[in-house]
Amino acid sequence: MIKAILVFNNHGKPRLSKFYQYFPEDLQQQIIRETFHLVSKRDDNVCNFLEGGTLIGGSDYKIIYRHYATLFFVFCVDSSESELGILDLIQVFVETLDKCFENVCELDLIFHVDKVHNILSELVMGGMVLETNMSEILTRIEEQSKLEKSEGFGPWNLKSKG
Amino acid sequence: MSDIIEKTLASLPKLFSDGPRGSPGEKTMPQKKIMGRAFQGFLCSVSRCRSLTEEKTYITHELKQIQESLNRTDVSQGTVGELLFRLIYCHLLGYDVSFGFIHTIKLAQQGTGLEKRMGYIAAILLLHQDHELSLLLMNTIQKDLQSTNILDNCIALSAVCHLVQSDGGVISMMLPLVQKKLQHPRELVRMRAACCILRFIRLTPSYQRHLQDNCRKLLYDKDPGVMSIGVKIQLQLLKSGLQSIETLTSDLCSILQQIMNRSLPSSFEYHGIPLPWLQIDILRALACLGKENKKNSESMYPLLRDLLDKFNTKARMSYAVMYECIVTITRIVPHRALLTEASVRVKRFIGSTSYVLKYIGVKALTHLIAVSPESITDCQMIVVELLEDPDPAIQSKTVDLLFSMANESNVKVVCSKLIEHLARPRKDFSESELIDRILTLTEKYSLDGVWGYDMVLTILREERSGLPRDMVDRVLNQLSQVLNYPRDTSRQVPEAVQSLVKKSVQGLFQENCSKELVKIASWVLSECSFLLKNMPDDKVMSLLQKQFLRESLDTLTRLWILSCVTSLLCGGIVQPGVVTKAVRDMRDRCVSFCDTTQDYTLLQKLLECERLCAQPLTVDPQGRDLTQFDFTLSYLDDFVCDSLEGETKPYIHKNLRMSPLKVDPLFSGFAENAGSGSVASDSSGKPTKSATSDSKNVDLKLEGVSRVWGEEGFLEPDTSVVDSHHAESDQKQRELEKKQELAAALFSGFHSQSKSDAQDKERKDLWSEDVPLNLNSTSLDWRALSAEESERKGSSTEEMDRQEADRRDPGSVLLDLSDQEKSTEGVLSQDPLSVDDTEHVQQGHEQSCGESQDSKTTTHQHEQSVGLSVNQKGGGGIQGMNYLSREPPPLSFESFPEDRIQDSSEQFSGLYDGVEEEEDDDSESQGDSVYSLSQLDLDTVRVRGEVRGSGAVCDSDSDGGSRQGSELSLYSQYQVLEDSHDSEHNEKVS
Repeated sequence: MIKAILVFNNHGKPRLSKFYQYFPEDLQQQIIRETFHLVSKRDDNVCNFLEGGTLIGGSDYKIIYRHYATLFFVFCVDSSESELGILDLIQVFVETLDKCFENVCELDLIFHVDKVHNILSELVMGGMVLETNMSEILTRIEEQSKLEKSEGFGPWNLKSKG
Repeated sequence: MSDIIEKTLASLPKLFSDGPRGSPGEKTMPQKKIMGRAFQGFLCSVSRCRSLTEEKTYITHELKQIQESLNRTDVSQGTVGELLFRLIYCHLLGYDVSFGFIHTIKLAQQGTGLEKRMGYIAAILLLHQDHELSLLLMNTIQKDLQSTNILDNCIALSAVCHLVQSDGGVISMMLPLVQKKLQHPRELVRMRAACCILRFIRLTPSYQRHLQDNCRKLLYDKDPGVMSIGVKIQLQLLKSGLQSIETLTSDLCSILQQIMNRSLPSSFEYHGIPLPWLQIDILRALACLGKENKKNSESMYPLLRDLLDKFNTKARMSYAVMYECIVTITRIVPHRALLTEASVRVKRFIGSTSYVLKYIGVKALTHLIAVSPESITDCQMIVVELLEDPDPAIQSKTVDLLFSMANESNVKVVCSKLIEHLARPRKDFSESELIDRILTLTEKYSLDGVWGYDMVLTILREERSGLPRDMVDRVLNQLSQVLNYPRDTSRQVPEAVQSLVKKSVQGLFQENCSKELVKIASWVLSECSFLLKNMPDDKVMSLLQKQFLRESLDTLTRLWILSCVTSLLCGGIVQPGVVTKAVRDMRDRCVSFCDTTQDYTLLQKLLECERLCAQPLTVDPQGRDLTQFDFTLSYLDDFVCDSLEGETKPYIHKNLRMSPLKVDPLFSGFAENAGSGSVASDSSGKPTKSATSDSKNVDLKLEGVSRVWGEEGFLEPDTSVVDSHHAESDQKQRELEKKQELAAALFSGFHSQSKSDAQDKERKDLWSEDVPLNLNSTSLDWRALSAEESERKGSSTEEMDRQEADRRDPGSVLLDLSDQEKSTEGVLSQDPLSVDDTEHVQQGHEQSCGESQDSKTTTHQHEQSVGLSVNQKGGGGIQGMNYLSREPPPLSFESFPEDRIQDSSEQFSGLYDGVEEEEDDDSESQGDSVYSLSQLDLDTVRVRGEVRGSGAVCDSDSDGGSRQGSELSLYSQYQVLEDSHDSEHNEKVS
């Protein structure tokens, strides 16, 4: 099961956090900080897996991360997930973001929180990998926005009430 | 450009935050722009904050504004949505936004379309399943599940998945609705519904039976996405052990077959691999199904073989599937050919330059080694290198690998490696896991108890935070097995017990050992107090007193020390006067440094001790109460006198009969038994001897270890490595040799562990150093003893030779002995007594060793000659001697008769049973010949080689092919073995 998905930049500023297992708010912050410390210390040429986070689940807990330009994408998973599978899931996630925002950058993640979470909810649901097919995810996102538009919605817009 | 925009945007939030009180902006301006910009402006101002405090003041202010706005009744739903996303951002930064929770629910409830979605997303992000407010959302979810809007359905299902809790009737309330959605025409709704079902099954396993039919249908869904969730559900069911559908294997196999045949649309391919994630899940499910189920496994074999064959792409995802495939192969009922295939792939993984693949490779190897231990032989050098890998993640996986490949013969090396890893900086939990593993190994392969205790003492030498909680209990449990020897017989106290006591005393001399060590050591001392008789009692007391007064100790540990003192007092080991003095001192100090809070438990215990000193109640150290009875038996005096006059033998008391105990209870046994005891040799820290204790295990579990020597050969790759490195510089050569030694030690039954023994020595020197026990000097000086012993070693080998040879041919002994003595001088090649065959063998041997090793070859010649001469003197008939030989002659053995070899090997194996016992006794004298199970296998082969060496006639090749093949491969290891022997010898010499 995926326990958490974290995205932070090279300075450790969180850009996205989604916990699939409940942790109190202050612990969540601690986890983000700890994960950043663990991940940022590593060279680029070592493996993308990491054991040793103490806060989430001890030995049954793995950090799988990828580093893109200014952002770290980190998936915290338990031992039942396939490491390489998750590593490519991150790739799928990032590629999807890239397609949606056309050259995704750090700011897109915070300026379009809703959209990012929308994509994420297509990818992972309740800690379980839902859909891994990028084209499928993209069609669904598109479909949603179409549906919303046809009903008279747009991003941040409302049904005009006269 | 964007900077400019941002700056202009940045000025907006201030305007806006003032806005709501006056005339809210959203009424006059088009809402879309204002809200979007307001949100962006908010983000910009947050990110422009220079310091944390600045950010904090800004955000607290902003949160107040948001709270006010949310509480107003006239805000539109769009505004609420925007405000909620501001909250989410604040939440991301770690601020408390709990006031907004109720608004997320409100928005999800009242909004339509996009706002509803925003409300749901915010609720899913901010709430959790145990939050009290999440119950308020359930009604809305139910309504949305029944809606005709697909998007509402989807988001409601997501919320179900995230927010439904395990207890209470919420699941049962939701279940019918979710089940209905499984029949929804759109696959995206079905998928989410299936995902919810999976979640329910995880939360409440009791629903499994109820849902089985539904889950079954999911497997046959026409959409691959839904099907993959269906497979996930089956996997979950299999893991919980409740799945009992017989056709599942064939179903899953046919799905996998279809995927492999690419009968699915190409849109489902990822980097050219069809549905890799689904493949992974299916393989995992198959692993569960095929476990210990022959029929199921057999139906998978062809499929798995196909799958392995089809991997040729470079994409990383294909490695993920391959890894899963290998794991499945190792889990199901083993299939030789598949395992061989798998080990080839694993080798490729582990030798990869990519760290990711290396990591996966080590994991795969850990799985593989459990079913086919011989597979590691191909990549042992890589594993040794991985141990030193700069990446801690790979290191930790390699440690896992080491743990899983431990067996009787390499457990010491493995443990010493684990302890090395313990010294590296690491997190608490992994430290405790590592210690737990070392303990498990010492329990599983407790060779003599002393070695395990050594490990424990090394671990506890310093204070550690990550000790397993039950560590002390586990250690004591293990020790009590050693200490539980029959006490009432007149037998001597086992050396193991003596050295335990000695090590405990040494442990207590350390100033900064951990408190667990103090507990364990004081327990050992009180259990075996009678062994401390010869130690001056003020020394014992001052030792305990010093430990007692260490400030870092807690009350519990002090109590352990005090009960040790009590037991020593009652056993009559220490004089009451000494104890009284010490206890008084302890109490004074205790009062002085516990002045803030008096520790009454401790004080009372001290008082008890003091009282006990006044009226000492002595107990027989062997466990009987002496004070109650008249043990002098004075009333029988007359009767005894009469009997003695009648020439009856005088009675000797049991305790007196154990004369060595009387003289020197702690160490007497050691001096006498040093020649034959493997246990004592262990504690002496002498490299050659620590190995001998292994020879005790020679006849224990032949199966487990002999398998390490596979059919394919063991060290073949290494010999080539050695050859290629011969040309290189000495430095590299030495490094390589070290690694090879380690490899040989780790990967075989061979304990040519000169490196690790050197470590052992270092470690043990710490222990044996500076022991202020003024006992019998000869028995205490361990190093002197070991030196003595090494001298004795040669002669004892001779003795053994003689014993063996006496039985057969006394005449040849002379030849044998002289031969051997001269060979020790290193002039064997000119030895007039050596027979032609021997020379022949040596020449061959020298060739194989290469010129670079000239100085070293003499050792081999010596060792080899022992074996050879034995062979020669025995002619064709003596085979029992062959276990003496350590080095096989590198012969070209095609030229030797096959039938003789067969004969002798048969006789050898027959004779071996008888020899084993002797070997136990003699193992000491063999010194550095390290015996273990796998070696026995080799010995058989060596015999063949040697007999060939002594044989003369070329004969018909009866069953050449396969056997020669296996011999060839077995021979290939000798290179490394020789190397390690060499360096070991060199160390000794230097």
